[in-house]
Amino acid sequence: MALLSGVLMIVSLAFPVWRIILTAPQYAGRKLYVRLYAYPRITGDVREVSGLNKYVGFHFPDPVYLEPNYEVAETAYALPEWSIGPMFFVVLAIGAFAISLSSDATIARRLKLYFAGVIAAFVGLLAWAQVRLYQVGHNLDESAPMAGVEGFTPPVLGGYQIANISGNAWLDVGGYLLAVAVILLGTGVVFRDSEATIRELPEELPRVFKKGRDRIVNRIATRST
Amino acid sequence: MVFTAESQNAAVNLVSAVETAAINLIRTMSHEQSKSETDAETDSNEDRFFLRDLGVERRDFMKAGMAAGAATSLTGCTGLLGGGGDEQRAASADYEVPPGEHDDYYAFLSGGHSGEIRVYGLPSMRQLMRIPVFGRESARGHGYDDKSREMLEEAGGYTWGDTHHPRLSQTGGEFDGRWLFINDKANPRIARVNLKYFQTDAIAHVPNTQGIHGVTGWYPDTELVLGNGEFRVPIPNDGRNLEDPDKYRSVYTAIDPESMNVEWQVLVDGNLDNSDSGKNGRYTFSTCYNSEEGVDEQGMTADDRDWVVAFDIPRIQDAVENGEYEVVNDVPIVDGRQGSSLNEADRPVTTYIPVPKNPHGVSVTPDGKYACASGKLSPTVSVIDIEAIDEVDDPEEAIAGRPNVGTGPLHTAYDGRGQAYTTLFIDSQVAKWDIEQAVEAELGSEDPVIEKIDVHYSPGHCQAAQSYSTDPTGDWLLALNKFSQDRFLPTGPYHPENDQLIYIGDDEEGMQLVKDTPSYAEPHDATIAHRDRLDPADIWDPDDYELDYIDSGESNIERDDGRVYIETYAIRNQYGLSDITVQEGDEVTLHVTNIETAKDISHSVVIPEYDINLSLAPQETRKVTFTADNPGVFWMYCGYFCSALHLEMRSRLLVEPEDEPEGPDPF
Repeated sequence: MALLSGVLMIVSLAFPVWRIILTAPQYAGRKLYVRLYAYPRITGDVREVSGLNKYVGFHFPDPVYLEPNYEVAETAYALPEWSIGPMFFVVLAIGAFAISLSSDATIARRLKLYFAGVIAAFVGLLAWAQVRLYQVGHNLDESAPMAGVEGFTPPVLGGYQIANISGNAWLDVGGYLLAVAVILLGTGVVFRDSEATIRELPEELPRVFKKGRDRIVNRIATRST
Repeated sequence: MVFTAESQNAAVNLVSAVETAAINLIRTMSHEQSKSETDAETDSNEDRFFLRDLGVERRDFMKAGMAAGAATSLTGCTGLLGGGGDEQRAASADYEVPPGEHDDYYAFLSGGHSGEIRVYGLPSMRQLMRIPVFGRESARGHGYDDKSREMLEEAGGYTWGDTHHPRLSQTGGEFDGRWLFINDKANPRIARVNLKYFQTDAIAHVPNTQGIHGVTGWYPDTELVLGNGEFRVPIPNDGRNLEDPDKYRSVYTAIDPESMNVEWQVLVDGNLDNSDSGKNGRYTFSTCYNSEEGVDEQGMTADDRDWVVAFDIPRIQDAVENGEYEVVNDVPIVDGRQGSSLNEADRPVTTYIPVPKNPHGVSVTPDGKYACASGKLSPTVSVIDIEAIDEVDDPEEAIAGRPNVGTGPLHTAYDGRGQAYTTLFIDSQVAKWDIEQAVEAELGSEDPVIEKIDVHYSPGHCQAAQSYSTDPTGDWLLALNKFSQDRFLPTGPYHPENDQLIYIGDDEEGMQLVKDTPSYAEPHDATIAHRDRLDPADIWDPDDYELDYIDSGESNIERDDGRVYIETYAIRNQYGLSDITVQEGDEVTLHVTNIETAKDISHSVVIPEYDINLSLAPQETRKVTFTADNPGVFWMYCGYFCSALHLEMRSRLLVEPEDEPEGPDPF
């Protein structure tokens, strides 16, 4: 499981991890896509959206160290950590590989720790991304042509509205791969002690839930006595 | 019995109460129906049968239910409750298309001496687009860029044209959405409109004739486009035989639709008028008035009979193949006059079928059985049995029927249910008549006429939906009236024409006039095609033109001995070059790509005081060449309101003077 998770983390680098869909009355019947990779690369309707961004001075960020595949505006907000984005996943993947090579004696404990670490890392990443989105949204280029657009905070996941444009941010292919990787890890943690094979999982799953429930029920029962 | 005002009111109230109840009933039923879609199959079948008894399909029913105004619902109502009719085709006379909804049909109307084509949506009669053809037109930049300017120049360099007959290309007898062909009566030209881009893409200049009137494809597969020479002139018309009308000639011209080359011509007697094609790839037909070959009105109308000429196209092609022609102005001309030796053979190239009198329109029935020629100066329509043409000894025997339809019959259209609709110019009516009854009845009988409807006023063509193809849909008829007289607010001495929409989908209820539409002079004919028959592009495909696509960052200026070649692009809200400097007297070519990928974002490059107007749809590239003969600063701007920064979208053209300007600056 850990091995597979590691592989998924690496594979996800080849796909956009995050996407924004923009709709607006002037694009009747059309959705504009912005797909972001773990490293400074944006695909989709890049030219169209950067044209829109220019109006309000909300530019695609400047990754500082790497040359992105789009034109960086002079006043773009600096986001240097995007340049080392892949390192984040590579490090996590290396951890996963290391665990899968661990001896049977240590693997259960290590896997639990690693899983907790991964959850923390992703929650942290999302939180950090949200902070950065707030900053980018509140540092609009003052020389932008359009007046009257206040600073705003695009959410990491979810919908928002800026001028007459509706945005919706969500995971892209890479993001879903990462989510699967996390789920696999979680499954690994839960079923580590089980003898069940994957084919038996459907039957095993209720048993695991039951086990967990029993444990909680027991604990409550113990406490109340 | 005396009606008091009160009893009349009471009667009116009663009637409207019944009508309201009927509307409610229909609304309820349509609601039930939409519910039933999610219900079990049997339920939905029950509903369908129930509705079918009323002679409507569910879709149409829904439409009637959705209609906004009570008046509309009522119109729909009468049609619905009338029952009968063709169940497959029946639709309500609901001509309202609510905001945001699309029409069912495209109607292509010629623009007459405006030289253009107008595209309407039916049944709303909203004008969707105009397609400039034979003249310059600034909104779309037609005739302003190098390519369209050269196209107009090479086709004679005329500044305007007179379009009459828009004909769509067909494959297998059905509209294929590829091209539209249209004549110029003012000059001998036939143009082709590309229906992917709704743009005139080729114009053929036809020698040996003065103007082209009727136009048709050779169907079912549009292998040729054929044009009628109407005015008789000496061939070649180089000053010879001015005073000798006997030596004036009229020709029928065939053009290759792909290359737009003139392939051959056929010399005829009389002068040709309108044209249509049979459905099986053999004959085309032209009305041919002035068999007298007169040069004034009296001379042209002296005889009781003129002709419909049937052109045996494969036979003509054989003659061309065999070298049986004379070449004039590089075009092989086959002699198709009555006395021609080619007509002595078993299979003549042309057959002259006598019909009364100065006939005008000719159109072939959708099943390909008959060609109907409207008599104009005779109140009859001559129904020609096409199969009989090469079986009978005397061409007149091919006339299978001749109903008396009314005064001044000009053009005939079809509903696909065996009925024909003929405009009566003098009576200001449209007559509906039964084709098979016309064949069975005695010649000159009025019995085949089913009904007539008044139109306002003096209709030229009428055209029914898809009537020119093998698949008429039989719901809408357009009467293109030549006069509007008192129908609209006065606009000075020039009056608009009046294009009237008539619902013909309910034979029980009869023809219903539903809409007047004023139009600028002057639509002559139309072709109406269901929207599914067309597939227009909403942005250009750069593979569809020859010019290089200039992308962002690829702007370039090349200078070579007084010639400046500028390549740049346009995108909201700028051109690729913020300024361009040239020398006075330079020959400047401006080659611009609109690199927008968003539909509907057109740009243009206008250069004030230089008469430059380069119009660019998204992804389109065009170029324009001019001489920079005025020194100074010229603000090149975008003529389309393309964005919030449209006014800021401009660059400078700086033309450096040959000689230093004299005198001090005044400010």
